[in-house]
Amino acid sequence: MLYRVVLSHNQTENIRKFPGGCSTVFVFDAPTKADIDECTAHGCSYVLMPVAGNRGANRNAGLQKVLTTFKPNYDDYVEFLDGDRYPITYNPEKVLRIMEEHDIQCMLYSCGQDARHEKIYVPLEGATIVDTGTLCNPFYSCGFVMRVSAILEVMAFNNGFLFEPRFTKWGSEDQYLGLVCEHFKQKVAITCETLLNGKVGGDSDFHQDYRESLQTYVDLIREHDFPIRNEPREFVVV
Amino acid sequence: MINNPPRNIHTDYVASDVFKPKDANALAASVQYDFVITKERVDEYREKHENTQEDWMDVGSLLWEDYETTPDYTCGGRTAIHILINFHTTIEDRFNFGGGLTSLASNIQEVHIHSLSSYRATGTSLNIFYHTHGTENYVLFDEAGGSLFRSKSLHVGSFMLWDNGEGYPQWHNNGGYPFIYENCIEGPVPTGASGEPDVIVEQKYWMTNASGRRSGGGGGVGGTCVITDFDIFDDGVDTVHSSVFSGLYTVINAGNTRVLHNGATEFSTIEDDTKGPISGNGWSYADSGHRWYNEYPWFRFNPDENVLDIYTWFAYKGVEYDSGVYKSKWYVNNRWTIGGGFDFGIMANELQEGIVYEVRIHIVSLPPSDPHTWHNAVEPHVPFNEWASPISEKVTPGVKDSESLGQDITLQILFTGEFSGQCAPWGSPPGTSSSNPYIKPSFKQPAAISDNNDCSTYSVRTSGRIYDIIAEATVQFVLLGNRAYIMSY
Repeated sequence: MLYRVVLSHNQTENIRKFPGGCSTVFVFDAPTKADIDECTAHGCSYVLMPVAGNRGANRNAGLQKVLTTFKPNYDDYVEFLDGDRYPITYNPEKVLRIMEEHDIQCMLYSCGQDARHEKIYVPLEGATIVDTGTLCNPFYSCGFVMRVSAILEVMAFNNGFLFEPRFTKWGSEDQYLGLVCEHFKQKVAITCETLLNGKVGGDSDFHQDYRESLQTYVDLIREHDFPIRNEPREFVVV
Repeated sequence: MINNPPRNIHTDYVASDVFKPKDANALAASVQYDFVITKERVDEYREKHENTQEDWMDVGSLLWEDYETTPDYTCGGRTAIHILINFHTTIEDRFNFGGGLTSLASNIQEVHIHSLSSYRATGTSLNIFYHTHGTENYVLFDEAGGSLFRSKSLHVGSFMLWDNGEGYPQWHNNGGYPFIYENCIEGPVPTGASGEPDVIVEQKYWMTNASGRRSGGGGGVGGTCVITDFDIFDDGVDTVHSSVFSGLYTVINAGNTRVLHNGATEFSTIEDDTKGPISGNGWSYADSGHRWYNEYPWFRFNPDENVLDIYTWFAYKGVEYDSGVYKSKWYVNNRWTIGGGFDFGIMANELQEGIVYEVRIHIVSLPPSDPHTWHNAVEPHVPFNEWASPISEKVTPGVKDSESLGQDITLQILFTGEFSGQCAPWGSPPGTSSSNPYIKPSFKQPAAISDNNDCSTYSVRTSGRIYDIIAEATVQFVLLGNRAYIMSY
């Protein structure tokens, strides 16, 4: 079974763009009455966050809501999407089937404009198993689905959090999650079967804030003595 | 006797105070004016000298009523003095810089006239430097009162005018570049539209001395540095250097580059700067044994610093004359080959493991006028000295990416020692992508376009691109696991 967490920040108009068919929790970090009304009308649950902008914490809160409210099984899945990353192409059944067949714990969704595709061949159908053991690994958290058992494994490592709570600003929290996945030898892949609105890469507008997050990232790598590969393993298309 | 006190805005600033936009303006304001000609003084002068409205105001008399009887003014022993015309003049305001001004103290060798707006001048027989600011401001030199180029130096904004004696002003814009002549020879200006001066020795933007160093961000991170070139319009050099940065901070050439250190109140030259280690908490350079090619040193971050800001100028405003109308226009500084990229040498074997370092490149257009009002012939509503600051908060907006700058900008960071080689972007370690060693930094706008939207409607576009910008690009890198990684898109 699939569950979904969506981060929404002043994106009321997008709420209805997320497909139905699975239990969804919206996390509002700048909530308005229109958000709540729209979310409720759409049949979704919600979490209200007191502070805007901490995406890792927001995802953790949404995940907590899913775990406590819906009590998923170990072999269920939780999908994480950003409020502007509603699906353009959505094929969850096939994505989950691929994950089952190839024992993939985490599937990254592609975006309409995706800088990762310059480095990784991603077929239109199927998926590519990627290496998240490099410093700039392809783990972006704006859209991915993860098996609950894998989520719990990471949470046990991160003191109960999927996303390391020391990341309080934009950037690097997702790539760190990629390193943790690699640490537990979880298989991560990327697919175009579900294609999201928006782009990945080139977010230079955030660079001013990025250094602090990057420093946290580096500190954590050193703290856990994670080995960093300089070149990714060869990609495998499945 | 009118002897206005020097306009000494501050004397006790320290680097940590100065290097914020606001304080950088204060630094710019620290240009000391020995004398200030006010509107009140001019009114008083005109009242006393009846019927002079249509005549020439003797600047010497404006400054010293008694110059004829007390000719020796020491001006504190300085050899150069600065006079500010501190009101909105028009081309009908006529100043005679001969006459009483020639009675200055014998030790005075240079007279700098700063003005906020246009005026008419004559009597240019001294070593006078004319500085006007704002793209629509100029000095109309009257041939009847003397030779135009008998002045030692003309710094007159982006163009200049002179009266050719035929009833209309002759305009010259020096090919779109700021009209700054130095060491002009004596002799009459050729009458005619294309009168070129016989000697152009050097062009400088004196305003660039307003640059300053900003304090670093939070978190105990050390200070940052401003590296700038004082001479981006180096007409005295036949061949413009093909790279922007040869070594650390050489935009055009080392001789014209200045560096401002923490705690310093004056810029130093590279030559002076590299004679020995820099003490204190400023940044420092490698010794001569570690110099990069081209004899310029590698950059070395001090232990308490991890951010470097590079400010460099890209375009400037000028004025175009079209069908009797002067129009402001942005000019790309084509002579400054920013397209060559930034080559940046780092002493990587001295980087601290696990510390994220950041290099920020700021492309700054010189702000010769307030973008709010530059298109109007009205009193600007920012003070003169704010114009002079290249870090002025008044200079905002525009389009921010490499392409919008009109040049393909790349950044190459070269590391020393065991990390020698070239770094590829996006987390790649050195030496693994030598075929593509350059980063193409994404430039962004630091502030949203707001009040300056006017610019889109006032002829500031050149080939569809806006140039009145401050663009910024940031590149981070880190030494991790005994390797240096560049962590940018």
